[in-house]
Amino acid sequence: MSSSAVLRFEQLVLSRGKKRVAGPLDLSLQAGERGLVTGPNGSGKTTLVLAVAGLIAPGGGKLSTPKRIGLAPQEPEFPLHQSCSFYFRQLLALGSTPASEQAGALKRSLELFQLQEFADRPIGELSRGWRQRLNLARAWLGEPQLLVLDEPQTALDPSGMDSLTNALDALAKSAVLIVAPEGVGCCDLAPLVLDLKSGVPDLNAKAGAQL
Amino acid sequence: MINLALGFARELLGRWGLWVLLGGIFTASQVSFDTTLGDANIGPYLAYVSLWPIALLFRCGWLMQKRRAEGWPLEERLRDPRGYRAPLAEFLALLLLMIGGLLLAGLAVLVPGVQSPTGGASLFPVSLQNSADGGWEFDLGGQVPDGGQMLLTLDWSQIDPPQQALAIRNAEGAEVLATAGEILRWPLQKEEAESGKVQLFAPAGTKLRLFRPLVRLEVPQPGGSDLWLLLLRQTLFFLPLMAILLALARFGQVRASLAAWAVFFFGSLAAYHPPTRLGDAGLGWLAKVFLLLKHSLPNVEGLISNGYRFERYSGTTSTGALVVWLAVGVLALLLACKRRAAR
Amino acid sequence: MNPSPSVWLQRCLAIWIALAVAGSLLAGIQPLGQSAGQSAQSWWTARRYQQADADLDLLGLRDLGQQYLHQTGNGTPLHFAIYQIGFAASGPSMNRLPADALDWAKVGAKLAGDSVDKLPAPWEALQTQSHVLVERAFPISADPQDLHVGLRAMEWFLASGGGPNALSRLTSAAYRDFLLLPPSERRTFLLNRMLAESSDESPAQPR
Repeated sequence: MSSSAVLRFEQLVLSRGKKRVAGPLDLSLQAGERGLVTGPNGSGKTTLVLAVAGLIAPGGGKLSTPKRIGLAPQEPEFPLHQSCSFYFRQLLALGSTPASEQAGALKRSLELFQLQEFADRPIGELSRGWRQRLNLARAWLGEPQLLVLDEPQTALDPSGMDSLTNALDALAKSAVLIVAPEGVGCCDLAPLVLDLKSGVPDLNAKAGAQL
Repeated sequence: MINLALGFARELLGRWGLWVLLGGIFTASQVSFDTTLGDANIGPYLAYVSLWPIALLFRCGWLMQKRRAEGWPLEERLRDPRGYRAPLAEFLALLLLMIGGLLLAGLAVLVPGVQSPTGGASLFPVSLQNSADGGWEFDLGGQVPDGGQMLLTLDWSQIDPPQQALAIRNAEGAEVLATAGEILRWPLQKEEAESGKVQLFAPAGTKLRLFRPLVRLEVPQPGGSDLWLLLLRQTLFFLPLMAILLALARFGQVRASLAAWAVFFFGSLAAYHPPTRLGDAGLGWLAKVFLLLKHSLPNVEGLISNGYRFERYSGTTSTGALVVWLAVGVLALLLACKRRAAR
Repeated sequence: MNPSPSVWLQRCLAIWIALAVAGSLLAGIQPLGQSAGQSAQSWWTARRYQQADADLDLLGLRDLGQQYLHQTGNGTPLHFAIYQIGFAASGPSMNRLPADALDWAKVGAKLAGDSVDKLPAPWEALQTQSHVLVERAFPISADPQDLHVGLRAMEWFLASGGGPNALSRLTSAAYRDFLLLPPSERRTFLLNRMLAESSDESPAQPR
């Protein structure tokens, strides 16, 4: 396993409370690599996302993540009364993006998902599909070292899917971990690296896909 | 950081916040200092102005709660791994808005057509606790500001042969010469002012008596020039409360709106001035519990003293108590910046 | 499953809030900001007092004065009410029957006496009480009880030298003269003093 991996699990066990959800799991993703994690409902996909985001502690094993992570959750929450640009500027100020680069970062992330025309509108006015684009743009904001996308294709129309594909293709320095249920058509976005099927550990793949 | 703070301040203000502040301060200055509407008393003005930080406290609690529902904790964890930027920005935003309110409140008195308070002195009735032959014990109801003095009207009519002057002293040996037909002014000694208890003695066997209903405590009344200092003290009272709110909501991970109420009542306790006789309160035992709790806090009543009779306790907070109070705030802020490990 | 520390903390805070609310309602804890409400209430009392008819609604004026004193510690409105009830309402310009005028004078004098321990500057009330009795009550009825009250008020007033901010030293000097007299002559001295003061000047109208 490479020491320059952006994301690495070693014998990672995921649990909720005292209940073991999945694992032990092994995975390593380097910069520029993409990986797809699948599994049926309840197999621990969201738990894995939360663990990678640092919101819950792993039940065992080692989990190594970079400092800057962009996460597009399955059910995104937004300040609906705020405009996209105000909200994103706040997020950029919260992160480590230098003030001089914030305007450019904001513009780039909005452009990636064709959100420029909605920049000054309250988020509450956006449709579900546009909010999903905003969810993805938020994950891209600030050029994270690791992108974690939980069912990113949800609610996206073909144009949105194109945007997502293009945005993924434009990434060179970040690793991408996509989490999706089995058979929802995310195979085009990344090669399968991990199958969380009913907690069976021996199906774990070891390598990410090189772009 | 400053952009983050300004963003939070903008959210705190909302659409109407600035107008509410401006309108509130204008109204407060009119009803306090207008030549026909007001009575040129700083106390009520301070009381009205204190509503601004209280409103900010609750607004901040509500907003933090709302931000939690809007996914902010997730973004904070992802974008600010050390977890200090957001709490510091929130505190900075509150500080900016409080200082903004303070500046506006200070400037409102300079508006033409308002009468600036001129200061002077205020008088307060004093209850006599004990009276023995030639000795009187007074309870002034808590600490007295610097410059406080007692005014005693003495009854010389029983002294035989008649005398025109006698020395009145306290237990520590301090003396003031009392003259018949004149009010005795007893400048409070440091210990007397701090404890609010005074014991005075007339020379033994002189039958000098006291007209008990006429005993008064005289306290200097701050004038218009003291307004800035009073507003600053008020701000210093609220800053630690804001930090405690952030600590409870962030490190304590409790509902921020609940935390705001808890902090509000904690501040009320810190500002609480117990009645001289606790039995007067409807639930004496509860008042005693609160008194016990209050005594475990630094005495900061003097920072937030406002309303009519505010001069009675204004400025009674010692530097030591102020430092402890601010240290509580700093500790709370540090705690707010400390991120709890994922469970 | 045990509740997390934050759940415990939340419960503790809820109990604290409940106790504090009970303390505010029943044990005299004043919530922050309450003084703003009280100040607004006092301001409204002051407005009502200023708009009150000082000649017709005398008892209303008294109530407002007492209310304002209780709310703010400022005794000026109550002192004015004492003056209006005891001095103005019983005066010749009101054309009252003597018994009626006497009643008002007594009400005013009693109000002054009852307010002495509450007013911030009680010396003025003592002087007004003495004036009311000597100018309005005594010419109609020489009640020994009223005389006693009036003499006591005058003695206290003299002993105070007219209050802490008295401009004249004559009151202090008068008290010292009073002390030099034998006890049997002191009553007469005080009575003469009351009469002399009332002929010198009317009590200051405090409004």
